[in-house]
Amino acid sequence: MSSQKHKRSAPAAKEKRTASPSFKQTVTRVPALAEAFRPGLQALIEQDRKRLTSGDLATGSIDLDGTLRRQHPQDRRWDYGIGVHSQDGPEHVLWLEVHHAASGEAQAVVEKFAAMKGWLQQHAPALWALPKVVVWLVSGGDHNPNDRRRRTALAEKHGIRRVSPPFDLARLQKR
Amino acid sequence: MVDKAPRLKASQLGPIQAADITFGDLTVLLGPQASGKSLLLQTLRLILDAPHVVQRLTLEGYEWDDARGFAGAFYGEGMEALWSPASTRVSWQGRAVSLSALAKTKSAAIGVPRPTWRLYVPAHRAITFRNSWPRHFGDYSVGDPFVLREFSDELRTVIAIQSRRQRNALFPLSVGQQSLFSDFAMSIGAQRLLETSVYGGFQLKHERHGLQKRLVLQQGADSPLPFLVWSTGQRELSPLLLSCLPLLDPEHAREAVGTWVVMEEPEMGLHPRAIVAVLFLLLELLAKGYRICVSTHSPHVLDLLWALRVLAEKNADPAWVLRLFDLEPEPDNLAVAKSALAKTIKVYYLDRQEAKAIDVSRLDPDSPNVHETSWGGLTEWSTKTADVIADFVANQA
Repeated sequence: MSSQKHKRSAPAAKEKRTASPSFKQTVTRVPALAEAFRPGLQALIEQDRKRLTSGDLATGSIDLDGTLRRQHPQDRRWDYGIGVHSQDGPEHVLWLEVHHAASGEAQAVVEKFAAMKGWLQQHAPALWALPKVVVWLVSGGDHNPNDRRRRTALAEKHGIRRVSPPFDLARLQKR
Repeated sequence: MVDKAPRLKASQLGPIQAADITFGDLTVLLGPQASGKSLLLQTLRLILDAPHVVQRLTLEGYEWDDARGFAGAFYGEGMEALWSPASTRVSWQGRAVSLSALAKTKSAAIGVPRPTWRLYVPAHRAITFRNSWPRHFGDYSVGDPFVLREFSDELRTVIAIQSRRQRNALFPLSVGQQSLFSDFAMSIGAQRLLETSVYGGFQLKHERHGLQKRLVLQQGADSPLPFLVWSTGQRELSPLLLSCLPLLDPEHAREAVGTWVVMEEPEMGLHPRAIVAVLFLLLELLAKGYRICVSTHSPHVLDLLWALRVLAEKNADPAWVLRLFDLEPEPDNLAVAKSALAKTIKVYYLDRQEAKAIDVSRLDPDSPNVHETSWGGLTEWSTKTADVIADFVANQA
């Protein structure tokens, strides 16, 4: 792509992105999640909130695990959805799972992700369609932070970032 | 035996604004190009054994008027101003060290042993060869770094001694002839790893070529291969390996405890499997008691240090260390592994932006320090590529 072409297409893309509905609007239109929305990071338990930095960039959050527990007590459930403000693009949704990294837990995370994805595609397709980043925030275990094979496999097959805490929400602004 | 952990402090030394390094049994320096890793290592080498540096330079006909001239002779051409008398501060074990005092150091007498210093393997080791034989000290330009010329000359001596002993094969060492100088055996593990990952059926030999000796690689009765047709990894590793073999000799090993071995980027030019082999060799030197300091750009080195930290903290059986290397729990391998778990390991990241050395020794994946979790930036790109692909896949329709 020539740089001239790139320059012409960028404003159009930006215009399209800023027209996206907000995380809050989209969440509150989903009956099962309407009551779950909390401002900022208030839906997160304090311990998990501390694993994030630049929390002021969070526009709102939902506790997926707690909200869906009654309806799906036997299912694997993902932890949180978090709206993240962006300076020059659309608001992003950070789908966050805080999970330890003992042997075999990668598969558990993948299964939770599959369950969340399936539920959202069925019950909240507009929410799932928002620009997203999916993060497994490793909460413990003697994991090698630079396990490239596992990290790349999760990325390529499932679109999941495996991240060591703290996770800086400001990193999503630089995308 | 040194009771107190060795400590080097430096400020305003070349690109280093502030470094406070407490050395372990194994110390690893990380950092981008031109962050001062080699400068610190060379300064360590100078401080530890200035009398022999002066002796060597004097014997080769060097003469200097002042500290600047001495810096040029030791660090190399263009490095005269890196240690400023006005602003640079260096201390070793809490005592101030000045370059002018080092420049005036009395030369060591010929034949006096070096009590604390053993070996410096420079990054330029592959250029020490000409006509398949290491060059002597005076064969370099006046402005070439001292550590390069010293290494080259010592390597020449090692190979020359072996040559006089009429042993043809330098590596792999055959049973009963497992050292250049005695019947000491390199651990089976190190030998096996190096043999399979670097030499692949070739023998590292010396042979007569006309009236001169040269080093060659040879497989069976095939034509011998001179130095310049070896693979990059073989050219990089062979000088390092040959310089280390005498250190395993029991005569030297008895004097090993507390003496220093420094290596710049031991991974240079090597496939990860060969890096693993070199790492086991390093562990073997550690087991002998040498104090080792290396600079590296290899995440594989950090992989090992992280694994050793976890295994040591959990009191793992040494056999788990051997699993890292796919080695059997044979007695000499186990001895190396057991020793590795007992060693203190320090890792420092020399940050060019902040111009200081940051202690990242724990390599803790949960550290709030990004330099520690990214292992001094060595895995930054790898992580970024995975994250970009994750986001792309997550947002596919």
